[in-house]
Amino acid sequence: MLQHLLNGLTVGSIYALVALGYTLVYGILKFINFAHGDVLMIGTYVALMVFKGLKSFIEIPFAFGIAVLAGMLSSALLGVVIERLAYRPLRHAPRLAPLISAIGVSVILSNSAALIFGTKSQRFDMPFNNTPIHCGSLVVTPYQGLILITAFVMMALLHVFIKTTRTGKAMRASSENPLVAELMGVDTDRMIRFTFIWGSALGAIAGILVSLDYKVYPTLGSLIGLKAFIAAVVGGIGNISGAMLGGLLLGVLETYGVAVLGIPVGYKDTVAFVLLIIILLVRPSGLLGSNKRDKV
Amino acid sequence: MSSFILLLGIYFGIYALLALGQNLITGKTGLLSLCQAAFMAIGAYTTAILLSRHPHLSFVYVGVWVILSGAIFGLLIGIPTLRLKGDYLAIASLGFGEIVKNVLLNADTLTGGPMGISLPIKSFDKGLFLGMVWLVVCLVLLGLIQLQRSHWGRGLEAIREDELAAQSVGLNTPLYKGAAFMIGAAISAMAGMLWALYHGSAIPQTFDSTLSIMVLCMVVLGGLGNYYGSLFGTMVIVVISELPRLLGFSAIIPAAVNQILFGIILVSLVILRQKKS
Amino acid sequence: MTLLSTHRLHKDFGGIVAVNDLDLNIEKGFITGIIGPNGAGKTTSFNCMTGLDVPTSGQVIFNDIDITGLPTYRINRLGIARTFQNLRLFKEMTVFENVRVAKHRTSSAGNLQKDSGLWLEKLGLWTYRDERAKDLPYGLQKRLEIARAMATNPKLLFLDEPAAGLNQTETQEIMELIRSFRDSGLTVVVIEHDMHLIMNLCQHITVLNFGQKIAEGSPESVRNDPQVIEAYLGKEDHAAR
Repeated sequence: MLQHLLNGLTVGSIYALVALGYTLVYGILKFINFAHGDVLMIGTYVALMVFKGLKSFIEIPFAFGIAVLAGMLSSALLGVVIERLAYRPLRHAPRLAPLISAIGVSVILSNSAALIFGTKSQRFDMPFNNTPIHCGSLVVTPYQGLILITAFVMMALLHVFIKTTRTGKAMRASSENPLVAELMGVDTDRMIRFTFIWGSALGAIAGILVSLDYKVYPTLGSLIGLKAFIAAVVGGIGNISGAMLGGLLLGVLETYGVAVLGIPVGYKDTVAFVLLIIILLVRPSGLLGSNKRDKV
Repeated sequence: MSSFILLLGIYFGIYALLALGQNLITGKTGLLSLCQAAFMAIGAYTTAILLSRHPHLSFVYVGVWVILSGAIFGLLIGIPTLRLKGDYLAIASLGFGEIVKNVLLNADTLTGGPMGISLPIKSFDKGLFLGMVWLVVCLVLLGLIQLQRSHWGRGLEAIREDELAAQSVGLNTPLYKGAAFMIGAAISAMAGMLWALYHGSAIPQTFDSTLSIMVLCMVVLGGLGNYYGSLFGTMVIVVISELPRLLGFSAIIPAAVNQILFGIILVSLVILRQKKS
Repeated sequence: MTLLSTHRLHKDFGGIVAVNDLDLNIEKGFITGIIGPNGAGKTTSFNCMTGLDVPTSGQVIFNDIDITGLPTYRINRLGIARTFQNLRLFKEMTVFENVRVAKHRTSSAGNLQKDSGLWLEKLGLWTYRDERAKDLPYGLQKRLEIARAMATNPKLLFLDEPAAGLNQTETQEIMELIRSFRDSGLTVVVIEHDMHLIMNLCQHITVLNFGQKIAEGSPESVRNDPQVIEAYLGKEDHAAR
């Protein structure tokens, strides 16, 4: 039982990292960045390329570290460029417009990856010895440990950034009310850039972590993106703690669904969608979301 | 060559149905749903399951069932979304599409799993089939235009413009939105039936979410809310996507290039239209 | 005779109380004004009475029917129409279509076209019938929203700040319009910050503050009520000092 919980939390913390990207952007722009999953996929590819290029020259852990940084940077950069080109012109457009644009960006990215890197999935060799460690009845792989620790550290960093730094506070102000924040001298464009940088970089880490065990392929981002989005909605979109909670919850439920309830593996992904529909019906604003409506 | 043109015409007609259904839901009513492929799959599998078990059923009888099952599934996705705002709906409908595909792949006894179902019918004469497809397209188009001119059509537009205000003048908005979903899904299901009849089979891979996005692209290209525009958008996209494949160029131009092109069309059109207004 | 009443109407948003145990009586055939400082709960109480918000507790009775928590469209069909503080027109539709959509339920199919036209004429919007609603000047947009609400043949009309953003002439015209509605038997409730309009138009005024009713009565009595003065100007303890 405890073992399933641990496995669930591992998967869940990946969802949480990606969910943060959706929630940060939604908080400030009030729209779903459909391309988020594909942005993190590109970052993962960049990390893979850098890792492959470096690992024969320098020590493997170093190469991996540099690869992760490169992946984060490229995702962050990509996120900022996409915001500038495809979303900013539509900031005052009807609701559907940025959504359609984001879908377009998503299609462009995933297919460009297929064109450049090929549709065949590629392995990301574990940069460390992954022999499981037994603690009593519990089995933990170093890989799981890495995921849990990284996710925890990154979320803590984000938390500290948002709660204590000037920029973080300004970010919160902008997501509360962009217009008023702007009147108070907050540069909204800059804040939006920051949300894209944070979201995309966290996403890239999640993508790299996932692909250590699985593989890297062009549609890597779409399923994990969809799941993470569901996690964000379940937790209450726009709410940062909600994204973390929703991610962990979804991971645990999926693991339990297969391992305990005996849901066939083929239907594993269905668990998430059913959960989404139930949550949306019972609590449309998510577990921690506030029940705000347009002012009339 | 002529057989090739006929084939292009058949594809054009089937995709046009999908685009018309999408335009009713998204262009007219303002609901961004992304599961035309799933609705199409419902139609195709209804046809395949009925005909593979009872090969002598008349097409009209099968068609009635296709429309009914399409409408029911449309309502199924429509109901939860009656309470959802625009962007949630987009995701929920994507999720619905994934569920449908999952079921098609895994419920082997009913759907034949990844291999799909073959139909025990002989292949059609292309010219005849083309006529059949376009007869359906014309009927649907006529119906939609009639709807647009009716009070119902104006009600849908009012909901697109401002749902709260529409309620405040007495429009039963859940009913309207549910109806839009049912009709749009039923139209797509008919497209699925035609597809299954023409290919003599129903295979899960056909009904991928990339298809739904392609359909959205057709509607955006032709202009949201404009039915004739949807036909135009469909024609352009069908020519772009099917021509290389039918001419045997697909080995040279990978499918990804088409998809990238669709993406660019979506982004640039939305931005250009915004700049104009 | 009371047309609409609320009993201990209460609405809170996650702990923030917007309407607090409100008892209102709207008399048939009168123009009632609801005033109060910003955030007093005026619009939220409108929303609770028209189904846009579901009250946390309490009741809304209209024409002896309990309409608490009914969906907005059902309430409209029972005879309550409203306008919005920030215009909510069907922007891309024409002026004519805006009215026709609303008129549909109250006109037979054959008369729909004619009746919608008559309405537009009555409100001086006929010349603009083919313009898109969003292309109208602001004053006419406000007028169109009233026309749209009236096209549903209400017994009771809620107007949320009908004069906000209008110049003096336009305000005067809106006042004339509201009076003519009253004279034809309609009951009207107005939220407004323009005291000139409120004092000249309303027979009965209810004053809200912090979601509660702090005064009601004729314009004269409300104007001189010390609690109302305090709500608007703040406690004058500096004078006492």
